[in-house]
Amino acid sequence: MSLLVPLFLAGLAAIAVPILVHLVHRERSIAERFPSAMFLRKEPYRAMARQKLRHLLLFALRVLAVALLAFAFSRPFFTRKVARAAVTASGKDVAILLDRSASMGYGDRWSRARAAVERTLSSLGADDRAALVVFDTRAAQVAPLANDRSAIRTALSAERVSTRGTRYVPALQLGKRVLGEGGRASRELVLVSDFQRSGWDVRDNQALAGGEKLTSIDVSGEDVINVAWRGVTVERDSAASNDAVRVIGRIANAGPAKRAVRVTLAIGPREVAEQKVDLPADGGATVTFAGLRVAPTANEARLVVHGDTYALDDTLRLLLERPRHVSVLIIEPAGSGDRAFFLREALALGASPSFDIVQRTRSALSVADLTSRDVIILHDAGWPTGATGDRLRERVANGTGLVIALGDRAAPDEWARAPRDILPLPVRAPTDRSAGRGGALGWIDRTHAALETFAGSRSGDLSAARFVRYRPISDTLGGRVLARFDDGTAALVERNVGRGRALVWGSGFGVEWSDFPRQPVFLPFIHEIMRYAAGYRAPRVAQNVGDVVDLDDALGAAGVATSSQAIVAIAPSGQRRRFAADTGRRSLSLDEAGFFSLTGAGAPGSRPTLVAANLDPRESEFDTFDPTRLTGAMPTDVDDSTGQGVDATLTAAERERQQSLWWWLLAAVTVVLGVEAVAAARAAGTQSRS
Amino acid sequence: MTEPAPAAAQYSSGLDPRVLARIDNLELVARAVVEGFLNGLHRSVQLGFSTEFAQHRAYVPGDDLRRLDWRVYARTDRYLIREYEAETNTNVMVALDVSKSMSYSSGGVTKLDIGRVIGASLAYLAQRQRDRVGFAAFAADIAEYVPPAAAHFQLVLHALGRAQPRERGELAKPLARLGDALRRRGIIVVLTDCYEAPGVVADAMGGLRTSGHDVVVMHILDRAELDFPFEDAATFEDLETKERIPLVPARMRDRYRESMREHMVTLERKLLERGVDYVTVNTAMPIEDTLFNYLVRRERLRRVR
Repeated sequence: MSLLVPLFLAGLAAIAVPILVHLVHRERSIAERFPSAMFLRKEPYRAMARQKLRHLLLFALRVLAVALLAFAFSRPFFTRKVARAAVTASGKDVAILLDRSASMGYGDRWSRARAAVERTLSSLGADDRAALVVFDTRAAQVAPLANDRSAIRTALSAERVSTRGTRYVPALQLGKRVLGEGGRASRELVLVSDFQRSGWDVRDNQALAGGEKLTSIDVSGEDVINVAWRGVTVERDSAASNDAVRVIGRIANAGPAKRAVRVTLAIGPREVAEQKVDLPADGGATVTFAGLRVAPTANEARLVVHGDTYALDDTLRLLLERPRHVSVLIIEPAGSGDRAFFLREALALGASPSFDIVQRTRSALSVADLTSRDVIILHDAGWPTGATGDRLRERVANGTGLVIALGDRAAPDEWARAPRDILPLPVRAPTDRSAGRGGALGWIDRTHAALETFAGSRSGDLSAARFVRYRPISDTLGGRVLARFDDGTAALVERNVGRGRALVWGSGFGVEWSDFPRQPVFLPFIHEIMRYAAGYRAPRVAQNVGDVVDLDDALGAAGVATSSQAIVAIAPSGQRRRFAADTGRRSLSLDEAGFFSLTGAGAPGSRPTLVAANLDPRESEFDTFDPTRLTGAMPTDVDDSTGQGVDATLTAAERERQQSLWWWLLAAVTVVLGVEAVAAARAAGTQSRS
Repeated sequence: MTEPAPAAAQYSSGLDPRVLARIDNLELVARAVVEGFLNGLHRSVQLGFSTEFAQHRAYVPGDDLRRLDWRVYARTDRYLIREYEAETNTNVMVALDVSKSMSYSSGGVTKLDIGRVIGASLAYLAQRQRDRVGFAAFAADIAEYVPPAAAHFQLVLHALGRAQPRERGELAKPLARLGDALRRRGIIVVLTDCYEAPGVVADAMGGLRTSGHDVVVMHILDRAELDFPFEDAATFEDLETKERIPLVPARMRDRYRESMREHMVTLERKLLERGVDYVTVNTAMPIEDTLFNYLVRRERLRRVR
């Protein structure tokens, strides 16, 4: 007999309750002291003995009920002996879990791991069976559980170090399942790994079943000396021409000594730049390659560290393309001076993306000015008249972003002709807050894509700006309110118009009504608003093995309409995968390092979309953890560790669930309590009658 | 059984026996009780004890001139001083039963506590009237004895304060010995719970009476002894004999009350037959009421006698 949750036996302490109750009652019934029995002698209490007995019975019933209840909650079960053919086998089953993550490629780890597997196989007896499971972020059984050692050796020789990361949980789960299916009482998991800290999370708790044993073989060996890429950023090189980019790579040195390494940048097959980098001991540095003129479309590029011993993380693959510009048209009312100064300067500082700015007065605006604009800003200007207005409406409906700033010169009559789907309500007179300290932004929707940059705790204080006047925008505008002033008035409202979106701002972007343009937060606010209005998404320069790519998104961003056509993905190893059309969102898991090529099946001649996949940076972190922690975090959940003659294929929880003794115990508690209730009622009835 | 006089209520200062019993200073308690009921009385302070005119005696220098009998002087041309019985230095002996049964309490104040307060009050009253005060604590025998003397008031109070419940009680033997010890006639107030057969009690008191003492029996009873309010079946233990008797109180309550009532009536009758005053004291009643009832009744009986 064993207990699944023995902690509940502590509930037996509740037996003290009936004991106390009966003791208190006994105290009361010990004696009623009275001055004299002179007038009492004639009335002996005839039922005393019987009542004592009844009290004892009640007491016993109550104690029994509490004890049964505590026992039931501790979930008892029998460790039954089961006559199973497999169980009677005398040998043991061993599942060898071999780590093949990228970090195992460092030094001679892989060869030592293979040797450890070989030693394990050699140590097995004739009746023992073994299986081989290899794992990185995923686990796979490459040799079945059998006496045949040659199958394991063959599988082992075919295994290579992968470029994926490390996770121990899938391997342990698979290993336990393999052993469970084997059905033997004595089972052993042999984990051969470098025990990278990044691969284990203490929350990934895996309990061992009865008879299971975990043996860890650490092959991490000597201290690691390694130089690795930790990330890369590509941005427009504002010091060079508009088409130039700057590549900034971050590089780290894991080792006790300073190192000087040679770093090169190759675009396509050609090496285009080279630098020498001095790296401090256990430190890092950035490498910048500036003024790079690149093609408009994405090209394969590689940052390479030369002279390092561990090659897997010495190459960082990235995509280089000419930076995309967001074209912005600012429309102002005629003769108003340069009130768009702050807006224009803020946009001019944009690097990711850069903004091409064109400014026009409303009177000088032509239909041609509206063409090829990503964002059009009506800065205090009323809605354009005639064909220009119609063309603007059409452009917005086709995807051009529109930003309307209703500042001091936003004449209500000039807005009366605006299309109802863009501005359905008339522009109202401004709210004057000049009497006090002025108004401020009291709430912003930080969950919205346009403003999520400001969700962090130190990401800019939008409430610092003071507004002496602003135009109340009604909530009934029909769009989504993104920001409000401190009096509850909507400050920024988004409306969807066809494929485009219009953002209505209840003030100007000048300093006539507020000091907002003078606040530091103005710059990121303008950049984020314009990026959102333009529908701009920064290109993914480099990704990691293990990341998942939304194929529809990736090809859609490249201008390839794919929802109705199949997609073909070609992995760096040459493996092709076809994703059928109209099957919902399609995604690709990057399971190897290199450049993936994505093409629409309906356009075989079109230029493919590239995805750069690199080694997971965590695989370059060679910090290890003590393998005993892994064992300690996997407590044996069955006390019978001998396993002989025991139904060892079932875990304790499974066995307890099968037997469900606690239900019977609860039923017994119910019966006992029923008897107790009857006995107590009878006792009370006897007393009241007497 | 003596019922409280209707007038008692208006003289009661409402001193709770439970409060009084918690005051350690018996003199203070006695003064509070006595002064309390005397103030409410608005009558002669010479009430109850030896207050009646006794005799004339010749004036001697130093006597209070206010006590000269001017009428006698007018008739006889002699200076005579009026003397009252109070001035005859009567012995007042407080005899307190300290048997174990007196330690009983159903509500915080034991019968012994009440006996202490009543004894102290009577001693205070007597001392106030310049009587000699004595004290005897008895159970199976005399446990403590303070002979009557004018200066023994404080000793009496100390002895009362020291009185502790003892073993099993008895009346005949200790009271007989008390009678032997008192050479001079006086008033003996016996504070007891009378757990003996009425005949035995009456004989014991009658012996004192025969010796010429004025005897008062104050029968102290707890409310529970009178009402027997117990509900749960239980084993009852005699405080003195330790005898245990399992009982169902509800079933015998009426019979108990009848026995107790009969006991008290018989006691009163037999004691009166022997010229002994009998007063019941309910520990739940204000002590001034008890004293007032007794003194008024005693005054009335004295006139009858």
